[in-house]
Amino acid sequence: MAENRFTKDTITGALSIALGAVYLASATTIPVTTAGDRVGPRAFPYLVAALVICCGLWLLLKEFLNKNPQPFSWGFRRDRAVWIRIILTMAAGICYGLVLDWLGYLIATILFVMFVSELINVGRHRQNLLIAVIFSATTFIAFALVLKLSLPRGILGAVLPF
Amino acid sequence: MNTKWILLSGLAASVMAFDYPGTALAADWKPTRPIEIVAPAGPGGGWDLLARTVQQALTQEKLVGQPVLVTNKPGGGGSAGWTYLKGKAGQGEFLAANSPLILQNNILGSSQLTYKDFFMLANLMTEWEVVAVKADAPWKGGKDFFAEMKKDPTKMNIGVGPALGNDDHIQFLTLTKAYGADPKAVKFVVYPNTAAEQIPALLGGHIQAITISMAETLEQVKAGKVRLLGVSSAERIPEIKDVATWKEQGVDFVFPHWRGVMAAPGLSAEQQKFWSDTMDKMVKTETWKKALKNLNWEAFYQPTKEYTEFLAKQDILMRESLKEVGLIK
Amino acid sequence: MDDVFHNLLLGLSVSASATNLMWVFIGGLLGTIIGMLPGLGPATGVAILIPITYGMNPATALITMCAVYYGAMFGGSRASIMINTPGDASAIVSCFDGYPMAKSGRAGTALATSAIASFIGGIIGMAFLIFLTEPVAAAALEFGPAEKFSLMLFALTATITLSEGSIIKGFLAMGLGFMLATIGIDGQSGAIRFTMGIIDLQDGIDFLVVMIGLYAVTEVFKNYKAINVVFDVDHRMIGRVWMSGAEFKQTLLPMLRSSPLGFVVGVLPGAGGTIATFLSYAVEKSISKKPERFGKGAIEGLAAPEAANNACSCGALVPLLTLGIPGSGTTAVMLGALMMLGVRPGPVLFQQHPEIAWGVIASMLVGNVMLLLINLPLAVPLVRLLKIPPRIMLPLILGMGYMGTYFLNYSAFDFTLVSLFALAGYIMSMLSIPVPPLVLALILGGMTEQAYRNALTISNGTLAIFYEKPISLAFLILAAVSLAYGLLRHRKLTQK
Repeated sequence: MAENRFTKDTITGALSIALGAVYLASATTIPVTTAGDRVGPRAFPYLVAALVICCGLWLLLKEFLNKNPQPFSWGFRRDRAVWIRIILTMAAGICYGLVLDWLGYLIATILFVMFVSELINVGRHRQNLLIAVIFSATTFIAFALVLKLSLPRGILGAVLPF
Repeated sequence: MNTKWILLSGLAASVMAFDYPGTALAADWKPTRPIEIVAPAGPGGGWDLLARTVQQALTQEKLVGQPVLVTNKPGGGGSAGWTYLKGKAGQGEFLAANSPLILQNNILGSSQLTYKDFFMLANLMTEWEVVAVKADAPWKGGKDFFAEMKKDPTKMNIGVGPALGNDDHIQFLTLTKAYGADPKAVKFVVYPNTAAEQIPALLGGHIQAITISMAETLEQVKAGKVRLLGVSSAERIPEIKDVATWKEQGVDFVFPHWRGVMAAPGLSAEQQKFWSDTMDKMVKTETWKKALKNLNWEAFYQPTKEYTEFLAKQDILMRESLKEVGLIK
Repeated sequence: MDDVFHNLLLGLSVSASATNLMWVFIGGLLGTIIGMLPGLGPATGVAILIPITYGMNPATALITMCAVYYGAMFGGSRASIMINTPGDASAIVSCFDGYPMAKSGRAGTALATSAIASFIGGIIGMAFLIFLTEPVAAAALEFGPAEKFSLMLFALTATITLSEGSIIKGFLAMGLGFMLATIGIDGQSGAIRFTMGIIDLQDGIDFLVVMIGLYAVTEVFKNYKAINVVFDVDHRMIGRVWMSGAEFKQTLLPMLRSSPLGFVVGVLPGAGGTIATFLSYAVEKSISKKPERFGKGAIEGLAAPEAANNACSCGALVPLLTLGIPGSGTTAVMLGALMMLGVRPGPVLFQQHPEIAWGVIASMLVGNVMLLLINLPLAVPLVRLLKIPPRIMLPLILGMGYMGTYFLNYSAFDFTLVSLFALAGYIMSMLSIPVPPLVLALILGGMTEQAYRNALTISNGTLAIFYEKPISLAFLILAAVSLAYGLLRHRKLTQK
């Protein structure tokens, strides 16, 4: 169990130092223009990087001196079901965005809500489909038709009467 | 790519013509869906206002026979909204508001889009640029102001917004150069919320001058809190008839801050004709004229052909002046 | 004085006409509903109304738009309380104690408290608007970039030292928020920063995207743990939709303190509701005798920011009415709509069109009463929603969250960002990194950097500008005091 040697704060510290370093390195490549502003686009990011790295170092040092460390686990094994749901939800969200313009709001939303419902409300397909259709239709009517906000019609575009 | 879209839209048009037999010949294109005018910025700005004014005129004067929506798509100094419009190639129901930024974004390298990517429907209105100082400031005109600028630029803070590289910024740089001061020494203080921050900063004495559209300062001028040093129009403007133009003050600089509308690329000749006719009708309506008056905008109508030629000329001029003041190489 | 009351009567006679009352009701209801939805704020609400206002007389138009504006303020915190999803930035703080209240079976009380506190904040804000507009507007002009920077530093420090857990992790979260804020095109120089070549990042990351990810979707992820365990037990009781006398007494002083604070912050252009709500929460927590109750359903921790927020929206009208310049996105839309009707608000509005200026002020009084009347009964069906089992509610929250994201920028890329921030939020909660400092730093980051750079531009590069200006110095001292106080409190807690 290699995981157990780490505590919350050592992981946080290490992550912030890494993040701060990458950010700092990236800040040194920001092009500096001559026109206008005297302080320039790099000064503030330098301060921020310094802040994050210092916080990270502090956390590491504190845990190093801590005599009673509390081991930390991500729980990839224990909470495997939770992590799988999280990853699938994220993937569904990303796909929802990708197909929205193509399929149109109505269909894409039905698919997305249906999918996440299947993850959460396991096994009740008919109920899930019903919820997804009602949600998609009511929001489309409310936003696109009543409030006149622009929502993509997608492949249904030629069929929809409005 | 473009030809494909044109073919597709032609196909779609013929399908529609089949759907509604007897409506008319293909020469009579009419929108069959709600019109969407894209304001490529958040609600409340100049583009948004233009889009909503066009929306008002088109609906109230019943010029298009379809509902008209305004959609705000902010981002990239207009590029986000314009990219969206570009994606609607061949569809005649989409318009977008635009301004000199469509040239500047491309010249300054922040966007690949140019005016050539669209059907430039019509230039509609213009505002003029001014330089404003506090009413109790010692400067009366461009000459004494820029003399001070030449003497000690570190004491002069100039408010500009929302970002450098826009018309306000270019006006000030050009004037600085024309009056013989050093454009590179100007201290610009950038206010992303434009007038909302610039005017309080000026009145509070945090900055010495702002470079801005005339209309934004009008209320303060009326209340006697702000003085205008000059205006970029060719002739004096009735609302501020005491303010001399830059031209009168000896600087050859007439600089409109125009805004217009464009449509998606790849429109059929029928679609183009519909919109050109509609714009011709719109600018003659009472609703449109009254809106311009209420907003202190000057009419600046150029139909497609004129507008495109104007843009080509502006593009060259803009490149030259940006090079001169050192914003591009 | 007589003048004021005379004018107010004039205003009341304008705003109490049957037509105007009807529009206040419609606008208020529309605003409340729009405010509840993540991604749709008051600016969109007012913009939707513009076509309807074409036919109105200017006073009615402005009154209707104002009704939407404070309707959205009332509605913004509904979702914060019910599903931990703030409708907009100024409703974030309402999550801190509102959501724990709802979870512990006091949803009804929380909704009532929020409506009543909003009402009180609105009324006090209106009184300030009537009597103090001139001096406050004049004082606001003193606020230059140095003062603004120090104020934001103070708001951030106060939030960090008062959020739960380790102070160092609070500063870390602030740093992460600033990092996110610097992504995109830098307005001052045009330089493109930290976009990793992704064009969609050029405009920076919309804080609402981060908020929807970190709050709404992360909350769903956290619920995944309990999904298989809790299916039929309805642990969320509802409670009555009202405050008890004791609760009212407990929240009265916090509301009275927060309202003036909210109003004054609201006058500053761009600062607005976020700073006002975070600061009022920090103030209440720091002077409370039992600060440990905060974050676990302390009723004054909900009442204070709600009052501050509504008072703030009155303050935001000051620059619009006195200078003719919009102090926020929403007032910018209102200005545009008014100009299309041929009225230009500004220094001369009170002389030229007293019926409009005073009609609007009086309509706030009417509007706030009306919104209280809308929101209290509305709470009853709202709390019923809590009876929906989580297995059905969670997919709907996800649907709402992602749909709200779409309305922000109509960009598919934002869906990816929401997903990533939801994961980040889940990891942050596992590592006990507080979220509020990150969100606040993200919202204020652009302004903080801008103020910092503008101040240094004006001062020709010397840092002295931050401590030579008295107002700025005062905020810096306050920031230091709050930091010291936080460290002391923290030490006390760890020693116990």
